Amino acid sequence: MTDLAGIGSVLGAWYDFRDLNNLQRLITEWIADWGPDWLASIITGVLGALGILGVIGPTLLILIWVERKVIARFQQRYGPNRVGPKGLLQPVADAVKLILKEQLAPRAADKLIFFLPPVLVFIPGILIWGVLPFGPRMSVADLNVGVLFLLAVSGTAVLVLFMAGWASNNKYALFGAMRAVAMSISYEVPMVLALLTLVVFSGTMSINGIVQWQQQEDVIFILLFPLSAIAFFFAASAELNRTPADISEAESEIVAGYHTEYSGMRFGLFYAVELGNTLVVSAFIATFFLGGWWLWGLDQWVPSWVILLAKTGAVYFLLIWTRGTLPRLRVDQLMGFCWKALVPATLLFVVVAFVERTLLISEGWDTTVALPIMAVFNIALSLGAVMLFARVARPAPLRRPARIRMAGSDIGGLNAAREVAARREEPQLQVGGD
Amino acid sequence: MSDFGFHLAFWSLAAMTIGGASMIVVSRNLIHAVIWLVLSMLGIAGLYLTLSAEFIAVVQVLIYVGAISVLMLFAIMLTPRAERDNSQHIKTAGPAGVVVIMVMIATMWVAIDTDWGAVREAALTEQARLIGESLIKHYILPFEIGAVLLTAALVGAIALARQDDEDAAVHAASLQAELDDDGSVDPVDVVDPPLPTDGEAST
Amino acid sequence: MTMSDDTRLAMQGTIEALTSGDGSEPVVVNLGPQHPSTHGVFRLKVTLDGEIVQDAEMRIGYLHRSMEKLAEERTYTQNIPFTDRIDYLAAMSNNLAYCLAAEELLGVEVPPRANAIRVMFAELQRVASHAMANGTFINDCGAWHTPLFHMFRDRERVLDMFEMTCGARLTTNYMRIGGVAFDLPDELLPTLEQFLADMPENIANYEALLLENEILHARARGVGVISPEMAINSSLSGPVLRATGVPWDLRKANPYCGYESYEFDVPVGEQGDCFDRFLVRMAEVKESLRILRQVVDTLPDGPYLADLPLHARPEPGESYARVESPRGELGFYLVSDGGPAPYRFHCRPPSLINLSALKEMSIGGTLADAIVTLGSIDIVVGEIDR
Repeated sequence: MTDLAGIGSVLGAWYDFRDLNNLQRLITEWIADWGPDWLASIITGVLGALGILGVIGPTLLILIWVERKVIARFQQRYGPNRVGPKGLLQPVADAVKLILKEQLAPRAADKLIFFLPPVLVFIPGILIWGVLPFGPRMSVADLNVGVLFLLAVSGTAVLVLFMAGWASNNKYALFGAMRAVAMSISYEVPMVLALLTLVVFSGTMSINGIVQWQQQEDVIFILLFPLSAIAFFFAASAELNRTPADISEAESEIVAGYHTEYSGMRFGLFYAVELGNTLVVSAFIATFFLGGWWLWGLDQWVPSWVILLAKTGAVYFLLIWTRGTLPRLRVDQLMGFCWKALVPATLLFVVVAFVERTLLISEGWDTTVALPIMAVFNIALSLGAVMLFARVARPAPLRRPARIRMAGSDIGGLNAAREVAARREEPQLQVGGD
Repeated sequence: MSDFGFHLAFWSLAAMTIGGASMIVVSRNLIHAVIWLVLSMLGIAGLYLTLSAEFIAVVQVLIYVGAISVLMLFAIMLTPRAERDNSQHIKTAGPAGVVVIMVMIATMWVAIDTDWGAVREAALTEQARLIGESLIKHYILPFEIGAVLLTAALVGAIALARQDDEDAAVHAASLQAELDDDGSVDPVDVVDPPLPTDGEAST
Repeated sequence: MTMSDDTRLAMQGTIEALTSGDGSEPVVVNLGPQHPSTHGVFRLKVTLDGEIVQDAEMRIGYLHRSMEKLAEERTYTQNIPFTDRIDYLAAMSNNLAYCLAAEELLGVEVPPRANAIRVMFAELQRVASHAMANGTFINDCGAWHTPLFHMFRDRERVLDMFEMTCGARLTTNYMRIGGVAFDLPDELLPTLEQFLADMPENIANYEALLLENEILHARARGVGVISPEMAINSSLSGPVLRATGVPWDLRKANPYCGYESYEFDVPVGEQGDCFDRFLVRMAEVKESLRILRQVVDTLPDGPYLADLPLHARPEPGESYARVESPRGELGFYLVSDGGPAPYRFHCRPPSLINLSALKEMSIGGTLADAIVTLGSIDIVVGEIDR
């Protein structure tokens, strides 16, 4: 291990592709030799932005293909397989089609506000990438309030959705917008609390700091705070409008929600941003709870950003999986789940994190011994909390099992119905219930 | 950062802030006004960033753009349509304008008069920690008072929101009176003519 | 200063809302005629208070093709293709019900092999139709098409068997007055055997995925409830009726085509909610497979079509025949005036009558509940409008 660490520090030249920051630093230093300060910061900023855009653009195109292909496999289909090899060019064909399509706007729409959202929705979607650490020194802006920045930027996205839904002057769109806003505000609370747990425990608000804490202590946060991780995962999938929480664009209820009236590439932009947000949320889940670019020393061998992308892919697959499997919750159930289940659970673990942090710092417990004990304790506590919730908060209709009986020879109207219902034998089928 | 970059950032952000603020006053549609307000808030957040106050800037976006403006939009959506738009006949507009201008002059006077030299020091790192420590250690009493005040406001809001039927009737009567005072023709007769009676023929 | 008309109108709306008691204006939302969840061109006009349904109004007729009138101009045999298009998801059942009515009018004796084949295809049709109904129901609950596509796989195999036998998949036109159009092809029985062998595993998979799914329970339990009394008073039939606990199945109550000789059971629910309807359909598929097994084992030999003149002219009179279609009691009423075409041709479509209870079921629930309820009733708009 020591040798490897040595190699890590020896290299650092621009061709060390394990950390692309080396290249950028070279450029910065070169400009600083002859140019003013502000030119260097502008050029590196533009380079970072181009790097991110250059990664996101093609990745989105591939992701559309991946998502459609994986969902198709869940559904015993082939998925796109006509355009290009293995259907890989299908997203390109779709994009061309969307660009060529007519852009319709409802006559009664609020024109300015109607045209803005497809463009504005990109801003938070791209900004959020800025604070994602791809490696020890690889992030466009390593803010020391990175966690807050993440929350602030993702919070503004909902405003754009509201603008889209309101300006369309369509009832479905307005319903979608109101649902999106209500849900986004509610689910921000468990999201903030889940991240607060990490911030309290690791003592830093820098995202890279959180990853480095996990690296130092040789533990990933999902083991220490599993319930916070699950709450964050669910809250994030709610903010992303993905099943089981896609109520703001619930196809079977309100057609397409806030983007019902958007056609052509305007819809395409919404779609692309939604997909991009899914990717970035997967990346942040991987960063916060799965150790980000770090993987028990493997980051010395493999470029750290490859590790992050692999973890992101795993989380993304999980998101596709839930989407392909689960039905959608109702609006009130989703809100109830947020306030009655996720908020108390995450709040509980904020308190737990406070106590455990105090034990580690003030009481000076040895981390190598204390952390495994805390992990076991927290996992047990999480299981207990989940079981308690399942027992206490189940809605009344679900507490009785649903039964199917066989009529046998009793065929007829109400009298026969009473006779069948009064039978003592076990029903043919019994599901649910406590 | 050199002077040029700083000036560029400052003046563009200032234009954004003041332009957005002016549009709030000018626009008739309240939803538009909220969106201009958001622009103005973002400008202020940017100004904080130029002052190296990252924490305040991010919190500004988080609270004002992400939460307060959304809350405003919600309030507007939940308000009946008549009271949604900037009214054309606010009788108190004159006095309110005078008060606002006086507050503005006072603020500017304070801003110009104060010696801001202390802030020119190097940017603080770990602002969040400093802010947190001073809130908990030095300013614990104002902090707690603020918390109690907010709780009271929350309870008060809930109490106000539970409007009962009598209040609704009073409110309706006042609106009706306003309608009656108004000289114009009742639009219901104009835009909603009685349906043509085609009798049983259509059934 | 005078207000604009808009402002005045809006203020009057506010006054109305304030004096109406709850201080909010209801919103009328049109679901359909073009909407992903109305299963065809059907329009549901709901009045919403927030998300709560205050009133639901059904507007039908977008798919009206005047079948009943058209049928009065064609001979009895020529009318069979119309019945395919009444309920296009259960063409075999519709063929069967019409042929039974015509046979009663003409007094035709159907050979036993034809009866067995009829039962076989009616039950296959039930499997296909229930696969569609349950799949789209889960979709209405918000699933991303996964259960639908899995169930479509079963339906696809049934449609393949239809195609094998009569050349058509959807509009089969297979039954004839006095029997069926063609005898079974040689490859049908092995295919059916394979199908019967594979289905239990598939059903077990669906049950593993869906029956204990907490989200599905939360969405469908206690939603769209109707009492057995109300169901009978609304003359509901089929799985919607049986989900309330009323054991009424025409295959038992009024057997036709020799159903009395097969052993099967009638599953009934308890609560009469959407989830029970779903469960009843799942259980009925299993019973249909049981019947199919017996039909294959006891398939008699002999003619598959009775001897009958090409253009039969029944004596003046009337007849009514009904079958248990996948959606409920499907009846055909024929009146003859002695001519080559029916004087009156009337269809009792189960979808239309089951749909009439939607208002009762959905008021007081949310918009999302109304959609799930509509999905659980399993309507076919072609049958509603005819």
